[in-house]
Amino acid sequence: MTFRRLTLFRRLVVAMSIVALVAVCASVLFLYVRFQAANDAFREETLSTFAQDMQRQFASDPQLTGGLATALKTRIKELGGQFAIVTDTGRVLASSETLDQPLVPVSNQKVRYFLLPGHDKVRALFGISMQLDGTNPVHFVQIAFPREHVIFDTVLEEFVTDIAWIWIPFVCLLLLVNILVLKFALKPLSQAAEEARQIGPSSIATRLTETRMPEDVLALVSAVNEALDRLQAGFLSLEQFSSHLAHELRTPLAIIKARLALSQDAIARKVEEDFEGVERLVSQLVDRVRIGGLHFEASDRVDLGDIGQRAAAFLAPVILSKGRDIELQSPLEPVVVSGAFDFIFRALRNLIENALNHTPPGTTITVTIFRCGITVSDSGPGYPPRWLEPVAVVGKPDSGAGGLGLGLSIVKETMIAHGGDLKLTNLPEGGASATMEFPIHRKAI
Amino acid sequence: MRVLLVEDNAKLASLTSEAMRSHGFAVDWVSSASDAEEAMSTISYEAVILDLGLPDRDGLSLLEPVRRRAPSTPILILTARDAASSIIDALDSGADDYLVKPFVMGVLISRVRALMRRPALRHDTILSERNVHLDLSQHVAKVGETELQLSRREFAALELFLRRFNRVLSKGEVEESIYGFGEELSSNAVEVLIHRLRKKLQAAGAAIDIHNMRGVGYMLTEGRS
Repeated sequence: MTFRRLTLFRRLVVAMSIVALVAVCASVLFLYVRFQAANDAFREETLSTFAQDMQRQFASDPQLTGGLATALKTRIKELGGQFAIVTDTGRVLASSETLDQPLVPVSNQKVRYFLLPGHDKVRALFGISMQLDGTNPVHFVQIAFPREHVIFDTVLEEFVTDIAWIWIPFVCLLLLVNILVLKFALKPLSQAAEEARQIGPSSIATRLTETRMPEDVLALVSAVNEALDRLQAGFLSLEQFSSHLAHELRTPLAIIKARLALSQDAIARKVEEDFEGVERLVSQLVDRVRIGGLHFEASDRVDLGDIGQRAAAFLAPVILSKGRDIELQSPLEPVVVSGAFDFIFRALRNLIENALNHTPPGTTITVTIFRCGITVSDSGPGYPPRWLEPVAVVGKPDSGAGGLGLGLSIVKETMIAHGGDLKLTNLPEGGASATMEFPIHRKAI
Repeated sequence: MRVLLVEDNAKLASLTSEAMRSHGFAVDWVSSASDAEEAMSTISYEAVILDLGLPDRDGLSLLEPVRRRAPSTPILILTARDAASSIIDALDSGADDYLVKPFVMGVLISRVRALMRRPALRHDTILSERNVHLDLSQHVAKVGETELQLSRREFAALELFLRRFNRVLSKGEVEESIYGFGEELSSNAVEVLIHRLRKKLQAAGAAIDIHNMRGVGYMLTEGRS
């Protein structure tokens, strides 16, 4: 998942987490640098104090055998340190027991700090080389202690264990509190997103809630609601248009049919037969336009068994008059789905009419209702192979090279609007089978 | 048989009137709801054919006054509105039947006839379709001049189908009409009854037949040649 696709809440959480991490790292680094500086200053001061003590002892007791000098040497030894009194030529006048040469070569500098790197088991030493006052030739006192001086380490360790560790959980707690505050602040947005997600052809009247929305977000939500108002108006005007269209077309058709019915001429009977095709085409065109306005509420429940019974009963007179038969196979219990009754009825009517146009006289059209759909099968020549491909083109005319034909495209679009699909197959024993598949019933909203 | 036709399209109205007159109906045509109300206030019609899209107001608004004035007059709605909701509205408002334009003239005529056969309206007691006649008062069924020997239930079933000629009746509807509440019924009682009735009609040379569509229901139609 890219950063761009994260939700606003996740983006802010990620950003705040990075800020918290940087804050922790920066503060740790700052503290480390500050402590190192303080450590060095303290170390230098201590070394300088030891060197001055040694200078005083050496001035009064050059052999360093007196009580005070001995105490000083013992103290240096206890702290793991080493010392040496060195002439300007590098000769050692006095030193720790284990030392027989200068810690560092002497130089002209009056005070010089040095670092002796550790190796194998020998620890790194940090030391001072200080020129002794009033000696001629010039003498130097050199004292060095292990770099990790116990005093500083203890101070640092105590600081970290007692105080500094609180910083990390404190930052984490702060981060958590910020996230909770953020979640609370963005709650109206999440609710609006959830509401928007529920809006579909089946709920065009739903609007996003504006109450309790923060002022700055309210403008966006209001604009979305206004856009939904305009879309709904468009939807409804299309529905109205298709209703007018149906009315405008049907009255002249009724006049033509009535005139034909009155005529005793043999040609009128032929025209009546041809007129059935025109009538069906007009009816399908009106149905096709209507699909643009298809909507239903999630609470609109229909029983597929009931629709199957009504559609079969509606078309039975024409089916029988054409010498075909129809049968309905349905389970005893109702098969309830969310959907628009009129549209499912029209889709099924189209499938049955399609079967009627293709099944030979004397055969039966079978309508089967099952758990999540309706199948209409006939004994006709079956569908052209190109219609059986998974992605059949919708909406192109029957006579064209591709496309499902107007009737089947109405069914397919109706099913897509219901979250389902139209599946076409040819039966092994011959004949075509069309299935209106509805999505498996989700839990009620 | 005087029928009122309320239709705003003059051409359709004149063609429909002509067709109905040729089938023995006396048709009065009006083109608006107000004219229809006036006509009904002076003449008692045996049936009303009503278009919903009228120029002065919606045809549905006529249903209530018509029902008040003549509760038993059957009303058939003739309209271009084919949505189930429109059909339900019309039937709930008091219409007896509904036909969507463009319609087959023969269907309109047989529907109007069927409405006029309803028991509440029917003063004469003979139901006829093709060569089959049912005398309700004498309890006699005839095919041509041949009298049919029908059981009480077969007679009731034939009457039911004659009243619903060319209309599908579900098995449940037949059961409800023929058998009383609480009567013990075997699962195939209706099938057996219809089978016997069909055999008797066929044997007598009836020009009508009861067609059984499995799972859909039964329909009385013209017999197949």
